[in-house]
Parts: sequence; C-alpha cells; structure tokens
Amino acid sequence: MPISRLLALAPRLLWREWRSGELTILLLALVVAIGSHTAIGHFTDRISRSMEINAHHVIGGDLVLAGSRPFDPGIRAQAASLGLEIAQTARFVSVVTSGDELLLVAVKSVDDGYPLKGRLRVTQELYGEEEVADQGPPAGEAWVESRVLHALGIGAGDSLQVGESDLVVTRVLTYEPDRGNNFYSFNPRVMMHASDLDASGIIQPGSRVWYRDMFAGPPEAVESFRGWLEPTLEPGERILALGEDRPEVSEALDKARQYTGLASLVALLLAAVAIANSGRHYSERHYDTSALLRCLGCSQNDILAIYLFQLLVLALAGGILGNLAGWLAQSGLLAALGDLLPGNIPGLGFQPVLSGMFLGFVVLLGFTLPSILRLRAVSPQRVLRKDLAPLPLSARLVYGLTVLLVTGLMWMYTGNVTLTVGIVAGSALVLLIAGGAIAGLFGLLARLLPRVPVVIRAGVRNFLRRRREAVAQTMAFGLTIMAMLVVVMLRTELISTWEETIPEDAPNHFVLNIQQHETGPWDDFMRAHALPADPLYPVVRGRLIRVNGAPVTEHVSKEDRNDESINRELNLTWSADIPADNELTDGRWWPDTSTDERMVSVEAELAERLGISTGDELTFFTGDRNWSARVTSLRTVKWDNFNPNFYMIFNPGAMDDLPTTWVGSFYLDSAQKKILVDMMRAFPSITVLEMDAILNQVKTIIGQVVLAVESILLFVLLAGFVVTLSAIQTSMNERLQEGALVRTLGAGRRLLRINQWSEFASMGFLAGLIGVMGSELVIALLYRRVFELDYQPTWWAWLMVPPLAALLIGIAGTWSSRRILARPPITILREAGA
Amino acid sequence: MKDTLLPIQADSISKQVPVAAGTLQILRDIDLAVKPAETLAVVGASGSGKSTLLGLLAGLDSPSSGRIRLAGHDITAMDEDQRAAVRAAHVGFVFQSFQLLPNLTALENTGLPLEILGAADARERAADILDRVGLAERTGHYPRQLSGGEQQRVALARAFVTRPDILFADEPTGNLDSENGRRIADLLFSLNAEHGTTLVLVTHDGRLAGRCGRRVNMAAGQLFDH
Repeated sequence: MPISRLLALAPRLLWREWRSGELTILLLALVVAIGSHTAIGHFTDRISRSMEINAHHVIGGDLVLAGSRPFDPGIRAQAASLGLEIAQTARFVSVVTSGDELLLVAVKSVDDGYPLKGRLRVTQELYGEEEVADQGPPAGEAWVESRVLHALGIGAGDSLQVGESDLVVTRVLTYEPDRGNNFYSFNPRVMMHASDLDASGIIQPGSRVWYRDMFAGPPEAVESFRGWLEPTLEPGERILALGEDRPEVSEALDKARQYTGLASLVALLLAAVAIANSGRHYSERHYDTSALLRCLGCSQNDILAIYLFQLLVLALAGGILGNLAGWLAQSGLLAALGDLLPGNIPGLGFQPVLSGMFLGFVVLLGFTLPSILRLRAVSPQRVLRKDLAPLPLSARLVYGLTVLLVTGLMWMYTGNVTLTVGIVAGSALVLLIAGGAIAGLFGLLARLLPRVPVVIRAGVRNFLRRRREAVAQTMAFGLTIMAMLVVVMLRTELISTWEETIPEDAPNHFVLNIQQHETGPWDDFMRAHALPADPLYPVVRGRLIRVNGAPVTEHVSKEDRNDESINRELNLTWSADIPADNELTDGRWWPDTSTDERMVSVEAELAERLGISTGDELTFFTGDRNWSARVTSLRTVKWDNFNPNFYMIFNPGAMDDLPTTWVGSFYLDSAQKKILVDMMRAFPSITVLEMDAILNQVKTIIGQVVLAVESILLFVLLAGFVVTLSAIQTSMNERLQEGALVRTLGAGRRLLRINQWSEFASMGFLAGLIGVMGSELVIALLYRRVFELDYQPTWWAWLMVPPLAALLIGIAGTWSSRRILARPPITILREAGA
Repeated sequence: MKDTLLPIQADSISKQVPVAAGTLQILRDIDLAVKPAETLAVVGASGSGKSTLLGLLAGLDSPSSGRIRLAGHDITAMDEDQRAAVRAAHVGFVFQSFQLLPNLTALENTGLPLEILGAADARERAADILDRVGLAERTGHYPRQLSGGEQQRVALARAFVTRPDILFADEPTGNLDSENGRRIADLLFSLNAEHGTTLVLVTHDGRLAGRCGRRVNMAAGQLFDH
C-alpha cells in the first residue's frame, strides 16, 4: 500500500479505536509513566538545583581551595581567565583589645568578592532586626559576633584593636553562610576587610593562617578549572568538597537523589508493566481485525505500519499529555511547598521534557513491540478458522528484550550500578523463587480443594484452572506490591533517619567554659527561664603532643601535619558509658574499671589520619604538664547529631586532677533571644555559640528532601493503581463470556459474586506473599549496599500485606467484573459473538 | 476459452498439513474452473474440506501442490503480500461469522475496503450501498447494536462496495434463522446479478446451493460434479 494511503487509513483506524475506549488504559499507563517521570524530573531537578545552590553557600563557592600558605597568584589568574568569580578569605586566631579588655577571637579577613554564595546576616545592634549584607565590612570597620561585644563590654560604634589596626565595630554578625560545622574550635568571630590585614601587621612568617580562595561560575568552567587545579596542588593545599564540610547535608542529598531515582524508576517500571499488559491485551483483541484487513488486501507490512503508526501517535500523545500532567503536578507541588522552599528556585529545565518524550517512545515501543509483531503474523485464514492464532514469539527474545530495556532504563535513571544490578538481580531472584513458590502453592491448593468451603470452592477452582494466566497475573500483582513496599519502607526509614538527625527541639545553642562552681547556678538559671537543660559534659582542654613517646608531628604523614586536631587544643571528656550513637570499631569500652590507669577511646577517622591504634600511648599537654593515656578503643561518631561530640573520651576518674570546665547545649527559639543578655550577665566567663542559623539552614534542606520523597510516593501509588487496572482488564473479556455462560446455565448472582471474590482474593493473597518476600529481599540488599541503613525484617508486612492485598484485589476485581452481573447474559454473549 | 479470461482456475491442487501421526490430506487433486459471472455452490458435510478450498481459491492460503489462477494472476507463484494486492483489487468476502469490526460503525465497516484502496468517495459509496441493503437508517450503529441479519447485510454491503470481480461467500446464512437466511440469500443473489460478479459460495444448505447456476459436491477432500 502506498505510504500516502497508509497515512490516510491509519489515523482513521486509530480514531475509531480511541472512540471505543480500547486505548484508554494504554494511554493512561503511558501518561502515568511519563507524567511521573517528568514531574519527578522537574521537581527534583529544580529542588536539587536549589538545594545545591544552598548547599554551596555552606562551603562558600562552587569550588573552594583551602591551604595554610597564600596561594600562587597564577591560580587566581587562571580562574579569572575562565570567567570565574573569585573571593578570598584568611582566618587566624588572634587577640583583640578594647580598653583594658583582651579577647581571643577568630579573625576572618574578606575581600570585596566575599561572599560568593549566600549572604551574610547582620544586625545594627545587639539582638536587633536582622538584615542581609551582600558584602563583608568595608575597610576600617569590623563586624563581630555578639559574644565579642559581651566579652569586651562594648557596643556598636565602639572600636577595637586588631594588631596595630583600629577598627570601628559597625555591625553584629549573626550568620556567615560558610561558617562550617566545627563547633568547638570556635572563638568568637571578628570579620574585617582584607586591606586592613596588612596594616595590622599581625601576620608574620610562621603565623598560623588558614586561607580559602572561593570560586564560582558556570559548571563547565568550574569543572575545567578543577581539572587544571588538581595536578598543581602543593602539599597542604586541598580542594574542599561539600561532603567533607557538611556531611549531614551531603548525605541527605545523596540519599534523596538515590531515593528519587529509585522511586521514579519503580513508578516507571510499574507503568511499563501496565503498558506491556495493555499492549498484549490490545494486540490479542486485534487478531480478528488484522486477519480481516489482510483478507481485504493489506500486506503484512501494511499491518505493521498501521499499528506502528498507532503506537507512535499514542507515544506522542502520551508524551504531550504526560509532560503536561508532570508539569502540572510539579507546579502544584512547588506551590504547595511554597513556604518551605527557598525563594531562589530555578526555572524549568528542558531536559526532563525531552527525556519524557523520549521515554514515551522507548517504553511504549519496547514493551508492546513483541505484541505488535504478532499482529503482523496473523494469518488471513483466521477469517475462516478462528482458532488460528499467530505463533508466539520466542520467549527468550521477548524476555531478553524486556530485561535489556529495563536494565538500560534503570541505569539511565539511577546512574548507579549497584542499585541497578541489585534490583535486576533481586527481581530475577524473586521471580524465580516466586514462580517456584506459586507452583508449589498451586499444587497445595489443588490438593486442599476438597477441604475448601463449598461456597468458595468454585472460585478457587477457577483460579486453579486458569493456572498459566493466573500465575502471570499473580506475579504481576506480586511485583507491583513488592515495588510499592520497597518504596514505602525506604521512605519511612529514610525520613525517620533524617528526622532523628535534627529533632524539632534539637539544641541550637552551645555553651562552653562553665566553671565547676557555676554548674549549680547554671541549673537554677535554666529552670528560672523554663529552658529544658540538657546534661552538662565535663571538658578538659589538652593538646595531643606525643604518640608512643614520639612527637605527634613526626608520627603523622607530611600532608597531615597541618591537621587542625594536632595544631590546637582538643576538648577532652570522660564518660562511664559510650555515647548513644557512637559505635566501637575496635577494642572494648573500659575493659577494666578497677585500675586507675588512664584509658582513652579515640574517634576512628582521626585515629586513622594520625595512625593511632588500640594499645598506643597518647601524651597530652594541659596547662603546665604532660600526661598520658592508653588507647583502649576506637569508635565512630555521628558528628551531625547536634549534640556535643568528642574526639577523645576518657574513663571516669582519669582527669580528676586536671582543670575542668563544663559544656552544655540548649534550645532557644528566636523570640527568646534576649535571654542571652541575662545569661551573659549572670555567667560572664561562659561562651555561647549560636547555632540556630546553621541549624535552620540544614533543617530547611532536609525538609525539602523529605517533601520531595513524600510526593514521589504518590506517583508510585498511582502507577500501582494503573497496573492493577490493566491487569484485571486484560482478563475481563474471557471472564465476561464465562460469567454470562455460567449465568445462562443457571448460576445465581450470589454464587457468581462469591466466585469472583474468592478468585481475586486468593490471587491477591498469593501476590501479597510474593510482594512481601520480594521487598524484604530487595530492601535487605539496598539498605546494606546503597543506603547504609540497618536492615530488620518488617514483621508487620508479613502479617498485614497478604490479607490487605487479598481485600484490595478482591474489591478491584469484583468491581471491574460488575458488568458480568449488571447486564443480561444474552447481551454479553451477543457482543462476544459480534 | 483461454485460461487468462477465467476468473478462477485451479489445476490439480492438493493440501496436506502435518499432524502428530504424520500428514493429513485435506484436499486431493482438485481441478476447477469458474467462468465470468458464474455462480458456483460448493456443498458438503462439515469437515469435508470446503472452507479450505475456499481459502485456497481466494488466496488466503497456498496449496501444497497444484496451480491456481485468480482474476488472471497465478497466485500460487506469489507471496502473501502479492496475493493481498490481488484480493484488494478483485475479491470480496462474506463470512458465516460476519467479521465486522466491533469498533467501527456500519458505515465505517462498509467503507473499510474502499479506504484500503484509497478511494476518495468511500463514505458516499458506502452510504449508497447501505441504502441499497436497507440499512440507510442504521449507518451510525455499531455491530453490537444490530441484529444478526442486519450484521450480515452490512457484511454484504462491504463485500459489494468495491464492485469486486469475484465474491467468495462462506456459509453466509449459517448463523441466521431461516427467514433472515432467505432474505440475505435474496439480497446476495440480486446484488450479484446487478454487479455481474462471479460467485463462489460454500454451504451445506441445499436450498441456498440450489439458487446457484452450478453446484459441486465436496467429500473426503475431493470434488464431484453434481
């Protein structure tokens, strides 16, 4: 047939199909697949770009170079030539004076480019109205934290001396986007302009200064700069990455990315099952049409072209409608989340639109082509002999193609080989085991049939009789349930993990330097102001100077000699018990409590960096003397739990003779900030660290992530619903005819209804079992390999899911089969004949 | 008469199919020639092979041996797609089970062969012939909304709408009651006379066969002149 004639005929046939409603579920499945893909795509694309923007505020640039010596000017020249923006900071600890008062502070000098990412927040006076600042202080001015004002007894407008420079305090600094997470090394901040630094004469050869150059620009330029920079790094210089500086944020981002990848994949796969189901059903319904068209003179290729055309138009329509649905869904989501999201959400990307359209073609063609190829092979003789069905395609070809397609899609989606292999292997294993299990269960059910109550026996027998079809349908339901369970369980686990990370009332202020005699009055003060007082921890300041008698600087490698932990005093504590979320990786926790030997448990990563292992002897310097302790254990610390955490924990009594202060933490909401003034008056020697700004920043990011995860679940459930519909629909014609026939033969409605119920419910029950089994398998694998969560079997699922699945599939099946009962059998039989 | 002018000419055709126990001989050594505008009835019991013969003559299947010419074309030398082209140009069909497409209205079912041929006036011609078979009022109805007799009338309209040279009818009244069967037969023969179509009709209904100009019997895969 000439192409022009095909192009005239195919759309007409398609329109007639559409009118009949035959294509609705196929299109619905396609729209769900593409809709969830593009909605998730747009949403995560925009959110993650926005999260990344916010996250990069945390380190201060797209790329940050840190080191302890001024950097080669060639580096900045190279960055400038690539069109990158540049900012430079230098940080050092120094003493500032005002009148007779002295204070050890953390000075940060910034140039005009600072801050590159995010903004500073300041107030004009102590605890005044916050405002944002796009630049640091100009020359001649200093911006300081409230603690500086308290400690020096000065206010805004007074001056302080940094080295030989006199600077006027003009702002109170409340937030630095790139402050970092290093709670205890904090001396209060004094920020000044870089041009005042030289005049201060404070930096001399040998001064310990931490320099940071920050760079920002288009991703390609940043990457090419990174590529140029990495090989030129000197010892002691390193490129900062987000993960090192803010592990809790980068971890949440990573897991959220993996989760959304997985969830959208599951939504896609479910929709693909629906598409494959509907496609096969569609094709089987068209054997007669194909035969007739062949009879009327269409060639095999004409048939293929007609149906391919229909698929392409469907894919196009599904692509457009899916994109529209996806766009609407993500706009709705963003609007609903308005308050929670930062104001700087980037616009829609084009990539999800394109990939959505592409996906429509791939999924529809990939999953229905085998069925359509069978249509091509229908013999025209079928018009005379209805039993002539086309030969089935090679199973190996069909399954091979499907597995290939699914694996490819997964890989494209997650970019994660472990995840992809995990799911494919997990599913294959589940299919294999489930297939065997179902066969076994069928056998068992068949043997038990005589003992099954008479009312439901016919239904169960029906289920057994359609064994091949029933196995396929049960597996499809089982996989659907499995996929949905995986997504639900992971979501629950991830969200509770994140919420545990930062509970609503997590302490957002830390207090240091409470003296021994102040601990009683401190408790009284907290009670008087109705603040929940967390326990105080003892702290002894000490510098690690020797490992096994050798100076620590000789013990570590050259690169680690600048490690901050050996170049400053550490906060040391003692405790009878290991902190709740620390875990021993080596040794034992206080193996012998009867001796008065000093024992220490060391944080595992620090131990690795400094080459410390259990049994080593560490020597510390405190005040005016050296003292030693033996390493008895190594442990991991969750630095992101917003509680006081310690590199070194000693056994009780080990530091009784050393000068001790106490640290604590408390929660204060922004309306209560003025309490801090009373606090500083009552306890003039304490240091209060205000972490609320940083905490809020982290909370916002985690909140976004949780919402993204929640909303994606919605799509997965929708996809699951479509699969169920499509699977039931595929067997409906046969059921209709059978039901009508049985009714004609005298079966009552009640009997038929019970039959339908017991058939669908037994299918649901089996599918529920398969689903739970599969989800446990896949989750055990994913938790260990990908999400680094602890796996525990979900007992509730074993108890709840199979009955629930029986109920739901029972309802869905009976509801879909209601036509069997609602219409006169003769009508159904006549339509079947037509 | 020369071969090429005969609408249908079959020379010693046989058909075997492989079965579990060896091969099953469905047709053996059949010769048949049908003249232009001739009406031929093939009668026989169920399973005698008459539908298989019809399928072979119409080019829906190939014989195991022998040669068939359809509308002047040696269809045994053709592949399936070439035979399809011959069918589109010269052949119409009427089936026992009507074979109407359920998602198409009466008008669309009737016009389908014209659409396949690319006729511009498919709708008008389909409407005309539906009027001719007495279904002018039912053009927008779907098969499920029509009675059996009405469905077969749509099928007849579809068969004649392309003015085929040859019409193959397989038990056209087999699914109908006697009254409807008689009406369909009347319509079939009067349309056939109007269009001067060559008709090959397979039936086990003696009365229907009796209305054909010639009649052959089929038994155990062989043809016997009546």
